[in-house]
Amino acid sequence: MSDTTAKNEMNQIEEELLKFKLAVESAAEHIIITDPEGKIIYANPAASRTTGYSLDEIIGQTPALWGKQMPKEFYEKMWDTIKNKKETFEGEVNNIKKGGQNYIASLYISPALDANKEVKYFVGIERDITKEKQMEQMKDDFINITAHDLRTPATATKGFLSMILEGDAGEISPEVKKMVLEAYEGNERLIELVNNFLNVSKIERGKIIVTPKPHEIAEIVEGSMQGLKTQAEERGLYLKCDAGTNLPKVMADEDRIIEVLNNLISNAIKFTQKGGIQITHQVDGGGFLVTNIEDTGPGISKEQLPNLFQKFQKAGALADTPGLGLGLYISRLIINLSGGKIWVNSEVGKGSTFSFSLPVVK
Amino acid sequence: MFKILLIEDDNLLQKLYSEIFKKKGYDLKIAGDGQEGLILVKKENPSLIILDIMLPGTMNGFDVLENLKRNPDLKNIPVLVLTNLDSERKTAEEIGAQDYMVKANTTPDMVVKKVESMLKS
Repeated sequence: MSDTTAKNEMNQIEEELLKFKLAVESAAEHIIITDPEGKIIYANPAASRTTGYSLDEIIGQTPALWGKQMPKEFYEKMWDTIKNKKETFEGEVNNIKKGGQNYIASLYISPALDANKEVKYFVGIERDITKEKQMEQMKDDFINITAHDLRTPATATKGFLSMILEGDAGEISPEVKKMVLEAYEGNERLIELVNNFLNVSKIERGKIIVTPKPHEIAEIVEGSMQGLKTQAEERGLYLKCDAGTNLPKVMADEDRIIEVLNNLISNAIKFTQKGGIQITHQVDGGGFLVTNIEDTGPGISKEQLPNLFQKFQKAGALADTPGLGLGLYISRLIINLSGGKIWVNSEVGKGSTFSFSLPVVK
Repeated sequence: MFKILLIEDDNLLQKLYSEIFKKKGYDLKIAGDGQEGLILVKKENPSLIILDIMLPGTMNGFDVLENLKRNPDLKNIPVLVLTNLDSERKTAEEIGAQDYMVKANTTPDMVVKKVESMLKS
């Protein structure tokens, strides 16, 4: 190999190195490289900008210099992922700048392995996401307050109309009753929209809380039926539930399961012209209690069945009815979060049976 | 005649619940915020309290509930939390609420029935 070739090769390697160095130094993300023990051997200028420490102060330290704010388990899981499993760790961390200011960062740590698959370095990349987090919080607050504020007048409307329908203001003519019922149903739709809107926003952000406690399912069903019986009666439909005696208790979040039942039963009422809705329960061998909502409605075609529980889906005959098509999607998520399953059996012309299962209290 | 105290700031809902409870033969007292609520509890000595969570002023419903549960004379009065917040049942029950209802999912009749069953037990 001649001198010139060797020199050319050196130049090429140098150029490659320079390229990577320049790229890392100019990156907007905070990038550090540590040895296998976590001691920092390189930090880019962005690391200095996000943490507030100078590069001299950073080199030789560990990221605990600005970190160490998370619970012990967080760091245990992190080390297990990057050192034992040798996989990339991904998370959100609370850090403190040199001046004492808190910030939230999205964090990625990847092990860089040598030819023997041993950890040679760790590469840590952080990005300050404090502003995004604040915006998210503001959005959440806005949605919560709006939903709450929308519900209050809708509650008053529901209350007064239901008192008229219950005869609390004296006898009303069938014609008035019919009109009031229309108003009541319109208002119910508004409440359902607000509920769904709020639920979707919570679910998508992983914030829906399902807190199951032991409950008699028949009592929850009773609660839901009370609110819907007027609507069923007015349409000349029966709404019946089997006694539910001798059933084991289930683990259920009452408020959420009521939402699921309200959704399934009001759907059944909406689409059933003649006959009615029958609610039954049965214990399934695998430690679950199944609740069935069976209607004598038009049924659902085979093509529409698979997508029924997807977001923004409305079955063909239902496509013209108002609503966002979120009800079944939310019901599925709530039931899944409760540890159960939801499904439907239906045939055109023979009605539909929506069923969900909940774990039996052990 | 049972005396019920409603702590609720919304005008429309105050009217709604006073209508239904009057019709069903209850004596309903109303407080528009938490502080007024605590004063009325002591003055009226109700058999049951219906409590909203989002209240104006310095005290929310949870503060009121905590206050009630700290006071030996008041802590045995059953409290029904009636709110449009749908994820706070756990907190309310931990502080000592007997029951919890989401307003938008109930009719006045259902609230009265709940109150009846709470007063029986």
